[in-house]
Amino acid sequence: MEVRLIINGDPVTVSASPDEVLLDTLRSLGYKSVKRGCDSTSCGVCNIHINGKVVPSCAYLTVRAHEQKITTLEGLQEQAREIAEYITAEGVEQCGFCSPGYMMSLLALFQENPHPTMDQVKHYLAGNMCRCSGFEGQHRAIAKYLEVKKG
Amino acid sequence: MKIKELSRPATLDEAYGQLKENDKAVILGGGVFLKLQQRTIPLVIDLAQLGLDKIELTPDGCMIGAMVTLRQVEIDDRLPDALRHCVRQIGGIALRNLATLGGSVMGRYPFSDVMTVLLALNANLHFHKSGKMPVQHFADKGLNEADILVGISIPHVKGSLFSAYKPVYTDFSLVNFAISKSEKYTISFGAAPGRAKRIEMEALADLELILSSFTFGDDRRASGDYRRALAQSMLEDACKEAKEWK
Repeated sequence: MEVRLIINGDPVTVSASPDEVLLDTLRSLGYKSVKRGCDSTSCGVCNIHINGKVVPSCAYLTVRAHEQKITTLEGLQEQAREIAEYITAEGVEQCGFCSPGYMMSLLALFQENPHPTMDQVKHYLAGNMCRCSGFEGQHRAIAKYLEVKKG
Repeated sequence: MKIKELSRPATLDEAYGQLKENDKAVILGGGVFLKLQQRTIPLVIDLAQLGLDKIELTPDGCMIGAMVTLRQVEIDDRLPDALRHCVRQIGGIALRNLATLGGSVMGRYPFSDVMTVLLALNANLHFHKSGKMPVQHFADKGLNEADILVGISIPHVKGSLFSAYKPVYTDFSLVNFAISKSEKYTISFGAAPGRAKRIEMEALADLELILSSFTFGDDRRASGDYRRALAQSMLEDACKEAKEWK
């Protein structure tokens, strides 16, 4: 089926089988920030935005994204870099595999709620798994970022 | 999961016609559980373009479209507390932006937090062909013939709450519980580990009587005794809160 996608603002037309998911479509188009983790909507590493909402791309049928606005981390590098500086300053990053999905959740949260409490942050990130860190470092980084943002 | 053909009907009649024509057709809600199934489906019917993603207040309560996502439910302050709270720990927010309320109902999942709450809220299901059906009837018997869930209506309640025990924040519940008050109290326990059941009580006096109306069984995640102890604790906490419901 012919599907017209709008990826990070660029119109892209692809041919997709009915059971193709966006994870595969996006990776084959070269958007390699989108990772395959559990492939069962449990880990968060394949998270992308569709019309501003964070979704797991491993379960989102490509056909359903016809004429929808898709955003991957490639399209949000400036915003991501600002937060990433706090995360790397805490020495959290080890393998980095979860980072793009984690960042996509975080950016969706800040779009909805620019000044969340740490409880709201933890609730929002509950679906993003990281096997290296134990999450404490990320939480410290986000707390510091929010503190600075608050001014 | 393999899909041979996917249709995106523009009207409910069209979707229903396709469902009746092909007895192996499957309705697509959010597609989260469908994705996990190891089978080939000849026809998947996508309901995304039928405008079933609205939450509306009605004179009796509210009407929630079958394609409303769990995240929409979570953030809509107009909905009963029990319903908003029960979706908060179902996967992460990304999953809840995809998973639909209709999909949570139609799977008749024994572990469902949503079904336990809909039972306690005396909800009704609205089908395209069969019309209105109490959620209890559907939970017990399922459907006689293929049909499409259009929406879920919930009458006004004076108060409601949900609680569950999850070993990990986004885990499946070891046991879940919901209670509401309208004229009477409606109480339900689910994931015990069987499908949720509900009872009605005039008063919350005899907690042993309430607990003895439910079956708490063993599985590899927990024993029946453990589930019953959790259930008792949830019920005791709820009774304190329920005193405030006028």
